[in-house]
Order: sequence, then structure tokens, then C-alpha cells
Amino acid sequence: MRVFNDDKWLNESLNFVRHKRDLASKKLDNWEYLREVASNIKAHTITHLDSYLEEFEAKALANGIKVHWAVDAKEHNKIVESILKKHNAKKIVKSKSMLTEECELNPYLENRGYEVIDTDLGERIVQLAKQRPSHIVLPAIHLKKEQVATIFNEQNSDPTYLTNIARVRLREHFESCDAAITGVNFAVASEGAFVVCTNEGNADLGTSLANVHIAVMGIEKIIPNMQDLGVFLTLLARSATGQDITTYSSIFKKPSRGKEIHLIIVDNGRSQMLGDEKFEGALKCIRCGACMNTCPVFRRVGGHEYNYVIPGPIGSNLGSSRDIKEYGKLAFASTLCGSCTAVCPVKINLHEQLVAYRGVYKSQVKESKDRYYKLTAKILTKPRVYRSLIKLAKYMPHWLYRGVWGKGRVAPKLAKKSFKDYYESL
Amino acid sequence: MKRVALFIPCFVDTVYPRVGVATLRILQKEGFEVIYPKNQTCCGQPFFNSGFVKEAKELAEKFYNDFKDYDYIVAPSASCISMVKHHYKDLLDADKFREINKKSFEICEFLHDIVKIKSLNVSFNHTIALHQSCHGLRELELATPSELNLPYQNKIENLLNLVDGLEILPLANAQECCGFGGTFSINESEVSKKMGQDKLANFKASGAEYLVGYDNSCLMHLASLEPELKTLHVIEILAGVADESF
Amino acid sequence: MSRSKILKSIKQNINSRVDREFTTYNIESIDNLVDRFIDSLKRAGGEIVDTIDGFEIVLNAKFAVAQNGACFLNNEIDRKVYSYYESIVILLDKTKIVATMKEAMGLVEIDDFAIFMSGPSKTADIEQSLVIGAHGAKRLGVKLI
Repeated sequence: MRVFNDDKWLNESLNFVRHKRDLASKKLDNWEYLREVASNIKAHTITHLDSYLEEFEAKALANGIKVHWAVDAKEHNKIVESILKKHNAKKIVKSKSMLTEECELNPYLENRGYEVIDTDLGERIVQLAKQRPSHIVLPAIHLKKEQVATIFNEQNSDPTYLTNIARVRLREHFESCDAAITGVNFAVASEGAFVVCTNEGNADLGTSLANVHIAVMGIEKIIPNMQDLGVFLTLLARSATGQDITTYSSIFKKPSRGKEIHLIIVDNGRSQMLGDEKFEGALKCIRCGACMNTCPVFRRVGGHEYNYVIPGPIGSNLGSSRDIKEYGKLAFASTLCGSCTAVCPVKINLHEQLVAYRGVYKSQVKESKDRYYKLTAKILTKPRVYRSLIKLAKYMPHWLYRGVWGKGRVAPKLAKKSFKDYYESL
Repeated sequence: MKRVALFIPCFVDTVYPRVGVATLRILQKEGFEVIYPKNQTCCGQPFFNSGFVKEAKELAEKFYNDFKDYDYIVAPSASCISMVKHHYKDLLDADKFREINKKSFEICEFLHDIVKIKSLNVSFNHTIALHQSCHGLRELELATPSELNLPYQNKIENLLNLVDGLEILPLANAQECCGFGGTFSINESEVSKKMGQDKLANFKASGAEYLVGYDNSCLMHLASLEPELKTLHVIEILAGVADESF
Repeated sequence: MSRSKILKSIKQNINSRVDREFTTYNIESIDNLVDRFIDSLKRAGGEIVDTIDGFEIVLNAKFAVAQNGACFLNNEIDRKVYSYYESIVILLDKTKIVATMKEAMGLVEIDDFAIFMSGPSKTADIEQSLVIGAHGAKRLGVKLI
């Protein structure tokens, strides 16, 4: 991975979000206990996912929400299109949904003549810049205000000015849209209702103005009941940005008179993660982004260095699960410092999963350097061979092992007497 | 007299032997019979962390055999002993793991929690900054990680406060990873160096004379980027060997 | 059919089922609910007002949450009122402020739609600079009654 071109600024920006999260978490005495509660609710739910999904669907249908199921990304896109077709919808406003990124919905629709406007400011910026979001909560964190001004064709780079420009321009799209697509933060099984959290209000504006609301969710977004929702609404914003709660937490139960709500439940590989205790914990994720803000590697390279749709520690795990050969290398882009695991509101053991995926990767992908590891390991099982080699190493010229560690480093000097030598001389 | 087996990781054995000497001496001073099992080589962490699980298992089994006959296993290396204490659960059967887990300690952890050392009779008239390496911090709980909302405690600081004349200066981002990460430093060398340089910049800004830590792998990585860097393992200070040439 | 495929895949893959460990939970106990609500609201960019003058629309809160300054609203037929207007004033009975989301969930009633609104619309998507008024209200006032 390459270090981001202005890594000091990126690192400081993300570190500051981590800092805000710390302030929020330290104000809640019960924080660690609530993480445990949230983790248990999620672990319980994903291991009873079949019954909770069935309960949710039955209640949602009774509420008048039209429920669809999509096995994979392709089917998800097809279902969205079929709903749009049925309503003669041509212009769609979309609020943040990493699931739609995962399914590559925008290009699918655009290739078929639909106009898709991402309305979350950060997402709109990267949409206009023809880039991927670089963070799941802060999509444009990698861009400076001058770059945003250029993307908006404006001279003035003041954030308030630019946000107002976006407000006015996007308001026109809101007023003329045919359909609104949103993600789902939580789907409450006992109510047959789902929750969408935003700070901007774009989900509320789009869904209240359009006649059709298409909400898309991964199967793991289910939670059992409203009491459980209280825990997650307490942890989510604090973990993500350090706020007590997002500005808007909207609970959709029934469509407005004369309008339709469609909910698409998507699998796309998630059910395959179930059953392996080593990896299924990643399904607890509530997409807060705290792991990205704290990761010392992410902060220095930025989200675009990760070749999976979701970057950072959780993305490296989810990508490795999706396709170990394609994305498994991401599991190696970590020092295993464990900070991600420590900030995760649902206590996913992110760094341990990364190591486990490294094992999976190595069992499936053979590289030429593997033999050096295997040879070294073999030598280490034979103490006498190991010791003779150490003795030899002392006479090895510096330049021979300097290359191993790469340029820009001074290799350590081997001591004249090893500890073992000293011990034996006692 | 309880028998303590010394686990001296390869880089301590060959690059920082004085750290092993310090560990040996302080344990003997506290009344333990200290043995260095001669056949030890490596705990297997580099292989486990690189995805070579079979190789790591073999080394874990070897480690178990080399160290099973002792009352305690103590190492002056948090990341290596954390491998044994935590990650061996994926490599050894449950009984062997439980056995080893119960008696493995990092040296500072051992002095603080088991020996409950109260005085040292040692002085070190210098200023230091303490780098809190990841495994010791987040896996062995040598100090409270800043991510967690838990009462502040720092076993390392407690031990260093027993040393006369020593002053601990605040270090910005003390708990941030230094960027070594074992094979990470080879596979992602650019990022590894950047992280190391940031850590060194924080150290410089602290104004301290010595960068002190409880993991020589981190210190070795940082010294490779800044050869003039003065580093010490905590145990070298506690055992009073910091000025000894070896 | 996709529905049965997905449910079958889930049922087949689930290995060991995890039980619930907590029948209930506590978030935080708060002494002065009104003061805490006012403080939370202000931190989220909202204002306490004593008049509804100057606001485009008036809404009625069922209750509010002290810990995060959010008002719970659920009775507007036209859902666009929550995000369409530039300024909103919410009338809130100050005896209807509960401590945390836990207590709130005990009071939540949803006919068809409900919303927790904790301040004016905002974003920090441009260089992490906080800007008030992204798409929703630029100004949120709460009048305590």
C-alpha cells in the first residue's frame, strides 16, 4: 500500500474523529458494559437469523411494506430496476448505502438510462468526482475543500458556501425525483419496521417527496426488538463521530397514503459467513466506521488503497470472506495492533479474524516466498541447526541481510555474545 | 524455590542480550531458581501471523515440550509471550493450552502481579518516554488501553516509579502502533517506515533522553530508522544494568 | 425462490446458537432531566426558544431524551415536514423528558412513521468542517412548555 500523499493531514483528521469517539465513550460510565450487551444481542440475532427474518417479513408485510429477497448483487440490482420500471421512475435520489456500492447499483442503473443522484454530501462529492467513497461514514475525507470546490465548479472553497451550493442544487433533484433509495441501519423484527439514521436529513427528504421508497438491507441488519434498538442508537453515533445520536433517526413502519415502500433483503454471501465461529462475528457489524478511524494503517493510506468496497479492518475481513484470492491480501495490511477490536461497539475481534484469514489465504494461494518461511520454520524446530546458523550469521556481511528489511533502514547489529552464550558462561 | 523458565526470543538473544541478563538477574534476586531451557528457539508468532498455521503448530508443540516442566515461563517480550498466552489456543489442544496459559508471564507483568515487587534499590537519573507496544497493552493489559472506558492503571509506570531519579515524560500517541508488525515491516515497508517515523517524531517532541519499551521488536524497528536512538527495555532499568556494557 | 434459498442457506449454516445474556440493561441515570436535555440539544446545534415566531413550521414532540437532546415526533401526516423546511420549532412538554434511549423505547409508539430529531441538519463532509443545514432544517428550536 502507498502512503497517502498528504498523510499528516489525513491521519490527523481521522485521529480527531477517533478522539471525538473517545470523549463520547468516556462520558458514558456503562460504555464497556453496553458494548457487551450490543455484542450479545447481535451474536444472538445472527445465530437465530432465520426466525428473526421470518418474523420481520411477516410484520413488515402486514404493515404494507413490500418485501423482496435477493440472493446476490445481480438479483438486487434487477429487483431495484423492476420496481423503478413499474413506477416509470427515471430519476432516483439515493441516501448512503454501502450495500448499493457493494452491488454496484449506480453503474447498473446508469447503463440502463436511469439518473441516480447520491444525496449525502460526501457521496455526492465522490460521485461527481467519479471516485469510490474512501470511508463508509466520511466518504470524502480524503479530499480537501479546494478539491471539492473544483468538483463543484466553484471558486470559493469555504465549506459552508459549498454545502449551501450542494443544498440548493440537490434540492432541485429532490423536488423532481421519481424514487428514493435508502439503506437500512436497523430492521426491527418485532415491529416489522426499519430505521434510517442520517445527520443531513437527505433520507427523510427523498423518501417523503418521492412516491416510491426502496430500502435495501443486508440480512444481518436485523435486530430483535425496540429495546434492543435503544442500545444500538446509543452506541452508533458515539462510535462513528462522537455525537450522542445522529440528527435524524427515522423509523419507517408503513408507507404514506398513496405511496409505496419496498424493502429488499439481500444475502450476497452473508449467509455463507454463518457457522464458522472464527469469522461469523463480522456479521455483527453496525457500520460505524470506528475501526477505520483508529487504524494506524488506514489513517496513513486512506480508503482507496483497499481494493474492497468497504475499507479498513472490517472491510479487510468482509472482503476476505467474499473472495479470499481477490481480497485476502488485505488481511496482511495490518500490524495486528488490536485498536480496531478495542473500539468496535459490538466487540468484533477484528484483528484476530485478520490473522485467521491469513491462514486461509496461505492455504489457498501459493507464493514463491512461502518456501523461505517454511525453511525458517523447519530450522527453528531443530535447535542445533538454528544455533549453528546464528553463529554463522555473526560473520555474515551487513549488506546480505540489509536487503531483507528494505531500503531506508539500518539493520540491527548482532551482539558479540548472545544471551545463550552468557548463560552458559555463568 | 519456584523454578522459572526464561523464554528469550530470538531478537533478544542475538541483538539485545542484556535484556535477557537483566531478566535473569532480577528474577534470581527475587529468590527464583531461573533456568534457560537450551532447546528453545521461537514461539512461532511470525509464522502464525503470516498464515503458516501448520508451521506455527509445530513450533507451539515444541515450545510446550521445552517449557512444560517449570513453575513459571517468563519472557522479556510482550508480543512473544502474548502469542503463547493467547494465540496458542488456536495451536495447542485445550489442556496443553490451559497449562501453559496459567504460568506464562511477561517479565514486568510477573514482577508487578506475581512477585508484587515493592522496592528496587536502583537509580536511573535520566528522562524517559514510554512507548506502549500493542500486544502488551491490548492483549496483556500492562496498562489501560485508551480505547476502553476503564479506570487508568499502568503496571509499567508503577514499576518505573520505584526507580530513583527516573522521570517519565509524556509521549504523544504513546499507545499508537509503531508500525513494526513483524512481517508487516517487510511486506508493507513504506507504511511501516511512515508509522515508525511518526513515532520517532513524537519521541523527539517529548524531549526525553531514552525511548523505553517492553518489546524490543518495536525498539529494534525504530532504531533501524534512527540509528542514534537511545532505547532501553524496561527491565534493563529495573535490574540496574542500563549502564552496563555487554 | 430466492426467499427460500436464503432462509435455507441460513438454517444450514448456523452452527451453535447464542442465547441472550441480558434481559434488560441500564444506560445512565440522570438527575436533572431538563438541564441535561437543554445541554444535549445545544451541543447538537439546537436552541431553546420562548417563542415560535420566526420559524417556518411548528411540530409537537411526544417526548424527548435528555441524554442526546432528541425529540420524538410521530404524528405528522405529511412526512416531508421533518426535513423540508429551513426552520422548525418543536413544542415539548418539559415533564415528558426521559433520561436515555432505554426509557425512550418504553414510550415509543409508531402508527406508521416516527422520528427522533436531535438538532438542525448538519454535515462535516468537507474537510471535517461542521456546517449546519445540509438538506434539512438550518435551525431547530425547542420551546419548553
